[in-house]
Amino acid sequence: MKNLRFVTKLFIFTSLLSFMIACSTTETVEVIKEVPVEKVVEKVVEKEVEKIVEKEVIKEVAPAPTYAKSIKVRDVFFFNEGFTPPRGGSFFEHRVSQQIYEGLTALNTPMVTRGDEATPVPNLASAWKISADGTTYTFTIRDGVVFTTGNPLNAQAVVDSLKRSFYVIELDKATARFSWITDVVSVEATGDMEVTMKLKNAFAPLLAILASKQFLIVDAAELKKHEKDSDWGAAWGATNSVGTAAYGISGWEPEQRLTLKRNADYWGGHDGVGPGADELIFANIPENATAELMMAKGEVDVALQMDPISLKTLDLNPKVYTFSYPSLITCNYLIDRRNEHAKNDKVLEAIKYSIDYDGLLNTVAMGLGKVHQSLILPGMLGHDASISNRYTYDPEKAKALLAEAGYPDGFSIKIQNRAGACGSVVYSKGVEFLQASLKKSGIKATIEQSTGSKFWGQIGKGELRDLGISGLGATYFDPDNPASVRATSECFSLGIEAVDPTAAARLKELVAQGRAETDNAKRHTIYKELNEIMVSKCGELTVLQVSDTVALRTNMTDGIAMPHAFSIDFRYLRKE
Amino acid sequence: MNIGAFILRRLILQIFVLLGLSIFTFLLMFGLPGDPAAILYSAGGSLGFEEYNHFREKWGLDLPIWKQYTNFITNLMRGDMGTSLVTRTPIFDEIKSYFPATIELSIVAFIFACIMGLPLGIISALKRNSWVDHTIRAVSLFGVSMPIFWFAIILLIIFYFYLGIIPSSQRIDLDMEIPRHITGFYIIDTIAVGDWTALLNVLHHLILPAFVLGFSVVGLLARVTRASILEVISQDYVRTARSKGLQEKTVISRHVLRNALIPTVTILGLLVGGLLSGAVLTETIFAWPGVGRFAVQSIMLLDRLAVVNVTILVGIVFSTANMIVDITVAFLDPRIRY
Repeated sequence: MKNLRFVTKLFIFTSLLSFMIACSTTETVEVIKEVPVEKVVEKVVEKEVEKIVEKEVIKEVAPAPTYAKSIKVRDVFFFNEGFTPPRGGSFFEHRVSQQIYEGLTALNTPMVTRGDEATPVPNLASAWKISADGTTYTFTIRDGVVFTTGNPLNAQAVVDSLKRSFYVIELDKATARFSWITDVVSVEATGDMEVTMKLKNAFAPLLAILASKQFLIVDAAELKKHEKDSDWGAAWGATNSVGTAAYGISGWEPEQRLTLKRNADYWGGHDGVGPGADELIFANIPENATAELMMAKGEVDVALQMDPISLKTLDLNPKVYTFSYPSLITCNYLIDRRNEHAKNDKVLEAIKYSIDYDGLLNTVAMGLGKVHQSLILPGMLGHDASISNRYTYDPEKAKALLAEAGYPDGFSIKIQNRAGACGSVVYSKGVEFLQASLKKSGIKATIEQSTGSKFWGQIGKGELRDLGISGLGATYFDPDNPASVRATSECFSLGIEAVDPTAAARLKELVAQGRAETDNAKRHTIYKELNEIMVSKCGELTVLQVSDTVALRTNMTDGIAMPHAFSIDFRYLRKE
Repeated sequence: MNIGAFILRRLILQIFVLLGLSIFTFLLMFGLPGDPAAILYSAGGSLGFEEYNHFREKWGLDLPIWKQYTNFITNLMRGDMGTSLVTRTPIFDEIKSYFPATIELSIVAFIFACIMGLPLGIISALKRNSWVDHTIRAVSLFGVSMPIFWFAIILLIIFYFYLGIIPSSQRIDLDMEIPRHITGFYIIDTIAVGDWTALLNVLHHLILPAFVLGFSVVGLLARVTRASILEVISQDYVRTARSKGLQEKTVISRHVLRNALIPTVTILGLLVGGLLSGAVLTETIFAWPGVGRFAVQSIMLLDRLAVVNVTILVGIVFSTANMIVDITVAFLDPRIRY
């Protein structure tokens, strides 16, 4: 009897084990290869018998592209407004949008990554003309492009798409962020494949803006069919794609999986790079430890949004490599220039010399970023490395400056802390670090707990008198974006006008000039001057440019960064 | 009191419990530092003051807390749970989509806990003070004191990373099609369409998360069962049964277990709460798209209405489970009448 029980238990145990092993067996075939041959029936004249016979010969033709069956990507889903432009505020949505939609223009991503000045290149618009006064843009629409819906791309489709973007932005009351659209006089199809946009005033950043998420081209006619509550298909478009890009959405399971399918009719891309896989599968794996194991095991090919510790661990794995690229996010300390101490330029400068930038980068940011001290980011017109790296940590110099300003024993100030983070810099850590840094220069800082609404409320009303911390980003890759938002709005809320009205007035002039100037060389000069004023006069102390880091299996090649999309460009990914 | 009146009374009381729960959670969420509008907008790397203010106004975040609460309760009475700040989707739809995953996981974990916990408790009691008893008690203590988070990662490292016999996460392999939504319960959905390969895969994915979740309550169940049996086994009526010459098996099954199970069944109701709270961590580690994961994300982004609604839902499940337990106990023990 006992033996029988033992045998029964053994049987159950082995069955269970076999079941688990059987279930864990996965298919290993990954790459679908198409044989590059073509059967051609040729007519060959056989002279000897003077008759025509048909022979079947096999000719080699150019190899057809091969696609990996799938590329699996670890991500952390943050589904907010959806994937279809102009909506979609989260990094995750930005990332996906840029894989499924394309703009009239594109940014040359390798240039952006290198830090060269990036200029927009033709994309769905194969060419454009700008009138001498800079108010009229005429775009030639690329021929032979079709939406994933099957509808062809033509001038009317582009006009409808842009008008839809304007409409939804107004619906969402987000025009303040895209104030230029109120300057649009008309967008019209002036030919089958020609679109003309007229503006009230010259607006140089337009070409860069058209590459940004909000103005990517969608099949507006298809979206109209799914309209609900006069939203022009915005709700339906949140989880569906109607673009022209290399991939389109084929499956969306909230909090679990997003599947993008290769667009078989893709036109080839502005840089001649098409998709590398039949499917891109984004898996929502919120826990870093789980994602780390999946990456090490090879269950996922690419891991995004990994925390710094997991990245360092993965770096030790010979089958995984990581690479970082600068994002469009900066970490900044903010101070109101109307503060009784900070109204003195020397005090402002002393604070800048009091910050241990390298320490902040290496300890608080865990090395994920680089020291950057100005408004204009590398790759944008007007960037100047000598301005962006002007200050070094020098408490003695800070003390000397404070003494010159009349504070030989330093002074006391409050720092507002609140929940949040910019990249890997958690605000509370950044604030504590600043407090310790300032102490070495004789500035006694006390930390006060605040909230986002209180902090931004005070800045909005020009009432912030303490130090604070913030992460600020750009929505389009042109200096006009940080300049128009920060140089004319935030910097004024931080009291620049009260301490230096001349510099304040000049900032406004430069922003306007930068928008109106179509000559890139002249824009470079304008933004360089603007950047200089911001660094020396504004209460915004930019300290770091945050990096995004991606982990890839070593059988994955060609990861190209796409900083304006908070992502890599998945078209470039190839799986060996 | 008959059973119908008892259920009615419990349901009426439940309304007050849930009302209190909603007020408490609401206050707690508002006590947390932070501003959902600022968090959501900073997540997109941009912040416009006008847009920020418009957002707060649109979603009623600028209203005083009492007004926000009364709006919430009024809408809830009409069957409207509100809209998620994060996903801009009705919270009812969100919960409807995530709840089956949590329930499926919890049921399997519950079954596992019963299959493991009850026999272990019985064996432990019957082999009192033997090495078997000591081992079972040590395992029980291990289960109760083990942090789910740590335990789950350790098991993942062993069974997924090194042995490769268990999948890492999610409800189904990334290579497989997600089952067509019929009920949201993947086991039922795959059976309904006769997709046996998918069913096996779904079951395979359930093993580790259900084990981790279930194991966290196995110890408690085993210890309560053991203590209860030890108490009953020394009762006079058990001695009487033995002296009548009944077989030991009959004594245990008819006289000991039936009486000893009453406190165990009561504990089962409380374990439902343990499983639901444990699901929050389990779902995060195993990337399980359930209500627990939804709650975590909502808390992180201060999606207050979502958190309050999830809490109320968990409260309903918990109190209903306990009501069922009370009814079951009445069936088990004829002395108990409501």
